[in-house]
Amino acid sequence: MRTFFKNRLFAAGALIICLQVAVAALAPWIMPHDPFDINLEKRLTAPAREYPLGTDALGRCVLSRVMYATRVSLGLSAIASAVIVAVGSAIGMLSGLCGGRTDRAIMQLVNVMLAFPSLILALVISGLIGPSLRGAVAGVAIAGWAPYARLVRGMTLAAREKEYVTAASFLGTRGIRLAARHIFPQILPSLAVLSSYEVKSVILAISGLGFLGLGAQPPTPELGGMLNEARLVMLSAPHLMAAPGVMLFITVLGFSLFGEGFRDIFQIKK
Amino acid sequence: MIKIRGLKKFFRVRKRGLFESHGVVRAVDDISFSIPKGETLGMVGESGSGKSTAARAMLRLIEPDAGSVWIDGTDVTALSGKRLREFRKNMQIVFQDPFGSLNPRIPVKKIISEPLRIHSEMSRRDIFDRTAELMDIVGLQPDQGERYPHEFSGGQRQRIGIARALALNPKFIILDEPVSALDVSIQGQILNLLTDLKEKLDLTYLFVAHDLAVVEHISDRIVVMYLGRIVEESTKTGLYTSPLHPYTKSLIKSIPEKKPAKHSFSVLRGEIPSPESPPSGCYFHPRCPSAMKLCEERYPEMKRVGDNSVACHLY
Repeated sequence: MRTFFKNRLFAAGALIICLQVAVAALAPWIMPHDPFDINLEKRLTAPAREYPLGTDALGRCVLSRVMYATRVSLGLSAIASAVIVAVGSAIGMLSGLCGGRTDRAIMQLVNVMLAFPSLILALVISGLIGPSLRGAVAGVAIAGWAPYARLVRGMTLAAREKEYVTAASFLGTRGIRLAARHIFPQILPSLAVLSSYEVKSVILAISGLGFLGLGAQPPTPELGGMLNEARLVMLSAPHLMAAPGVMLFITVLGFSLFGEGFRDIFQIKK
Repeated sequence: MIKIRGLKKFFRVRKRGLFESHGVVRAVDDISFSIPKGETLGMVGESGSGKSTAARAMLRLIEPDAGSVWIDGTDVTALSGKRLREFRKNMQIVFQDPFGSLNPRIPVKKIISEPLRIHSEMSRRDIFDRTAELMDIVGLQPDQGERYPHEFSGGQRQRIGIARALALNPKFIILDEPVSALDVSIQGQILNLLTDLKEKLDLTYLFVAHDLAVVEHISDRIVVMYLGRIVEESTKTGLYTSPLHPYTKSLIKSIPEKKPAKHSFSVLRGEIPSPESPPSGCYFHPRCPSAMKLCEERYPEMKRVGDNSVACHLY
């Protein structure tokens, strides 16, 4: 554990992530106001004592909304990342272990998926499902599993070369048992590192969809959605963009540092 | 009784160049031999002679391209799917590398009992007892079963590999250089263990090795391989007292002696040729001290000389 925190990138990233998660988890209790509470008498006010970060076009507390939005964005990103890693590893291991025709078919599909720019693909899919939280997660997950599947397939092929895997399969270990006991433990460290590194792009994708109106629907605050709302009043209240923007920046920075540090520690190349 | 007939394994290799083409490596080229029940056949050759490939092809760890492998009247090459998996209980392999062949993340007793849990319907209690018994047979303390492979020395790890191979009561075990990765002081212990086990459990061995000194200890008969082919097959005493093939002779001369006379090593000149483009005629002729004109032209047939067989134009 000590060696982990000696790595400054890792330590800084971990600290930022911890703070973010704390804010997200504790939001309902530490928010100064109800983020949904509309106060039309105090629209677009500048930061002041009552509203530390001012109010938005409907007079809602921006600080409370950013806190709540962090909760929503981090939650969605966590779910989407988990789905991507789980689905990607399952398909990748299947491909690597089965080989032959199954392998070629899966890899063709992966190539097709990789041919589309992922944000556009996510946009189309969540548009088809309908603008909602579920749609955003599904869109990002469906657009994002392919590179993981390819990565895990490669790692599986390398892991199969170990002599103890040959020994196990000769002794009759097959299928899920072989994958779970002899293959997966080998690829887990690299997988953990690579997925920690990728969380940041999931966060950006989710916020991107939110900005385009395909994530959380009003009145639910979400960092990308808040940026979009602030854009409409950018000339009269430019500070409204700063709050969600800075929050997003810090979050992505945290995960980038964390991932970089994690990778350095395990000496894994991208 | 183990009978190998005409076993072949060729690999296609891609050659880089102006035009891409394929070369063929004849890793195992038409080898045949038999091992009577209860005997040990030693298989020796330099690295690259195809001995490990032959061993693996026999077990269908890699698919042979031709030939048949008969174990007690069943042709292993004709089996597939469930019947192959069932039949594999009868044959086992002990790997060369005692570090690579054990999963570092699984405790030893689970490594040893894995075949039991897959192939048999034994109760937990029976599996536990059988695992303890196996550990005892190979000279490990049964109470060390909770430990992980890295907590054991090389010799002990090889014992773990042997225990795993014995789990399903096989009749035939291939020992793929089981002692080459061990310290010399440990090698003897493992060889003695293997000899004891053979007697006790009525096993038949194929012992693959790259030096004759180790094989002498344990084998009844010996085959010598060179570039994918068997060049000599003989009884142990025959091989050591009156080797026939010039290659065997030079291998025997290269065994270090206890009291070497000065400069008595006749070291084999040159490297083993590339199996992708073997020499014409007898594969050994470029390195052979008694090569003749004929050796460059024709590959010698296997000939019987007394109890032994040899592929050499001298006989």
